[in-house]
Amino acid sequence: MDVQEAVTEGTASVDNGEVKRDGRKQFSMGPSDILEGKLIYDGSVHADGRVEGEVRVSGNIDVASGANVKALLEGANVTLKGQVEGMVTARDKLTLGKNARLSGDIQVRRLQIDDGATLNGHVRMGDFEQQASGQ
Amino acid sequence: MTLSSRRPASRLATPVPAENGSNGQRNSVVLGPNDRLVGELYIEGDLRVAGTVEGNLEATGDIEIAGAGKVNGDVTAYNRLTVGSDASLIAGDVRVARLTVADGAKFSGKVSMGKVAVEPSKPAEPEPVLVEATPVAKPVPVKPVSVKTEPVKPVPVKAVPVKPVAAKPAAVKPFEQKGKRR
Repeated sequence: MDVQEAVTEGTASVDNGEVKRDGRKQFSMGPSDILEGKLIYDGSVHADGRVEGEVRVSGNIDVASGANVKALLEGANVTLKGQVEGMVTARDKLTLGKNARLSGDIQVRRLQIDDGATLNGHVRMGDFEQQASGQ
Repeated sequence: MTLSSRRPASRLATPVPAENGSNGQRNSVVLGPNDRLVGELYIEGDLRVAGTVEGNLEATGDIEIAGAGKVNGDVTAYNRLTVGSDASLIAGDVRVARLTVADGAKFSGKVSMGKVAVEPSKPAEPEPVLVEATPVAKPVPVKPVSVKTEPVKPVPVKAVPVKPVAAKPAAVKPFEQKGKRR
């Protein structure tokens, strides 16, 4: 899988945003980066700045504390520290940090919400393999 | 057995409930691991559930689902809801000001958070039904029909004076005495 319809602006491009870590690819954004569109990525994503659209990754997604995300997020482990609007699917675990603000439905296998986080939406917990990892 | 004048032990100074912290402190209710509640519970204070609850919970303070506690129903906590790592909350609606869910907890439901989510539930959970004051039919002011109450004239019943029939003493003719002249 690779980047599709992804538009990046700001200081980091896809090339210098992509770093290898533990043999796995990581797509890393900075605080002033903007991603609009649909990103399907075989690796992990560190989202910062502004993200709009859809992000589906085989690895993990973590959203930085200053980030503003309006997107559908799907990853194995999803860690939110910033503000997210949209549906979130964590094939394994979703973590809402103490400054996280999530409004949207979530589907998870495991869930951790730290004190201070804000959540508004439906929570579904359990198996969802058939629909989540099909794409 | 002899009767003793001493007071039975149970009458001796019993521990004052204040020791349990119920005086002056926030009310707190605990459902232990072997406790079970089916129905609705409203608590002015905190609630700790380590047992099983099937029904709706509402507390003005904190709610903690601890240990292997299981709650199956709506949960409203005006302050904080904590779900422990072995606990389970399968809810329809979760309305809380603050929420903490430990990794490992079973948790599902519709979550509404923030003061705004909790406040409206205080007076009445369902939105206030505005009863429109549209008068379906104007109540026609009923005129007090002045019923002239004519004073019923007492029909003078002529009391026909029954003439007392003067029973005339029948004049008894004096019997002529005839034999006198003889």
